Amino acid sequence: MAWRFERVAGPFEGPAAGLAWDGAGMLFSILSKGPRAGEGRILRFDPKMGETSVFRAFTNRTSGIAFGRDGALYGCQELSRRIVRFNPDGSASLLATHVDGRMHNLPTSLALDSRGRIWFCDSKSPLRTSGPLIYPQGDLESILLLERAPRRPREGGDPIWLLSRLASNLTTPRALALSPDELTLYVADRQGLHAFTVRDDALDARRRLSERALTGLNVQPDGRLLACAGTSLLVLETSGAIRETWPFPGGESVNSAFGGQDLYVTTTAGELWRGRP
Amino acid sequence: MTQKVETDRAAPGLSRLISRESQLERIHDGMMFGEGPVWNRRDGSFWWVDIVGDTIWRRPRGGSAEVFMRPSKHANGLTFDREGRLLVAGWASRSVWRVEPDGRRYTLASEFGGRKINSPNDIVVQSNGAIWFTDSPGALYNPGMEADDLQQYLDFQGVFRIAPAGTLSAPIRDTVYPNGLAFTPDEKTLYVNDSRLGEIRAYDLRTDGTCGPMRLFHKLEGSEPGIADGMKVDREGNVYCTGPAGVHVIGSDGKLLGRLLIPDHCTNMAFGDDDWRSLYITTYHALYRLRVGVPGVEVW
Repeated sequence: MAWRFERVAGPFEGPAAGLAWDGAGMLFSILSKGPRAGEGRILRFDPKMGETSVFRAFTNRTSGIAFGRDGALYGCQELSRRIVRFNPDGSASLLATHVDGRMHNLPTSLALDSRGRIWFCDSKSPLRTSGPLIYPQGDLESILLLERAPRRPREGGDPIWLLSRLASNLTTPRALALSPDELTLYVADRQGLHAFTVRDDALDARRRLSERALTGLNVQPDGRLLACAGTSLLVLETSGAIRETWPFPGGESVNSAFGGQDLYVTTTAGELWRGRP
Repeated sequence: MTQKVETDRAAPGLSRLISRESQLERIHDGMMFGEGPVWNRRDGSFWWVDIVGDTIWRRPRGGSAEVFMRPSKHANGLTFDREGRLLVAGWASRSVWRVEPDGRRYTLASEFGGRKINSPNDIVVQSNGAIWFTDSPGALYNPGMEADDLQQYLDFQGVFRIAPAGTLSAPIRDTVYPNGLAFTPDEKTLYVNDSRLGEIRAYDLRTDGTCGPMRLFHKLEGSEPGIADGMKVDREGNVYCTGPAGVHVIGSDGKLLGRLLIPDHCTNMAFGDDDWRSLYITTYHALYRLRVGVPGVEVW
């Protein structure tokens, strides 16, 4: 099936990365570089108006983004080494950053499940992170899980989040997605595409589905994966077998997400493209 | 514990400020991120903070360190106003506050134009009573010392001035990560360093509380660990600024006189003792002191 793609926004300063559909518009993150990295942004493309506006400024290289059922947007704030909650009132909150007594590394991609849990992949990075270097990065490259503690600390207080490590020994994981039934977690790293069976709060041993290097993983309602592979988009069966290869005319693709019937793709050139069948 | 102070890149004139026999004395340690040093001329006490450790420390004359405030909302820069009240660049509180004689905190600045300010970093008081502070975004981004609300609302990271009557203005808005700040001895110029850009900038002060255009005063040298963070000026106008490898001593003409090589990562410094000829240096983990040849600009 051939899709027609067109650029709908950009180029902006810095690569475009994560995407999240808010029901009427497509949010996408821009990873600004250099000393003004704190000025990275999350932008919003409105398909009705064909216009792009700023959803959040000063996002400090927030990469992967996803909405929770609580209506808040969650993001992987790479240079601050944390998952951050972009609250509907415009503020932003910290969740939890320490696992096994140490601060985790740089999160890149996340997925929220129906229970409000946040699955994310975390890797070492040569990027200069914010602040004093008093929390050295650890060696583990992992899949981590954030979940709310059963009880709130006090009446009306913010929830306490618990962070646990579910898998490690990954090699620079860049993308992560849950199957529609939330029983399989897909992770793409430098070794290829892996699948983990989800057992409540744990993961079974990983299975390698493909050796292809992929950046973005986008699970479709039928369970197939739409993966970004440079200048191609791949439709993968749940087994990892390639079902279709689509040439992508927008350069190096980073990630993709559906907004309504349309497919949106971000690029390393800082652009947002839209595809239609 | 004391050790000899090592220097490098020394120009003629450094030895008059830092004697070759200078000893670096460690007087406190065990912190996670020391900062905010200031000498209290009124009672000979010395004050500093541990930002990550969320503590304001005080060391009475002749005594040992004691906790003044914990938690402190990750307090950062400290100084005293002309009435002798402790002023705090409140970092994670996203405000500047002072400690009243009865111990209560009184907020002096927390919003500008209806928006929360970023995270006050360091603070200094002018002889007319105006308070100047840098408003870097660190508490919004840096792990381990976060504000409750991590969102930056202002579209600049600048230097604020609280007029003696209490009005807040933003005379400097062209910095990326403003950090240490200090006046020249004649208070005609304000130096502001920028941690991201690794430079010290100079702004001439106007009598109406605004500033002239930015002049580059000095670009820090070296690739070792260390950034433009704390900064102080002595009575001859020499500038002491943290940077790669330790403390950089810069003449009033903007030229490097030499670098003091300090063990551990330097964060800030303050002149102190009754003759203002001791340079107290905070690092991530410790507080040091060494004697210098020229007294520092006094703190009120």
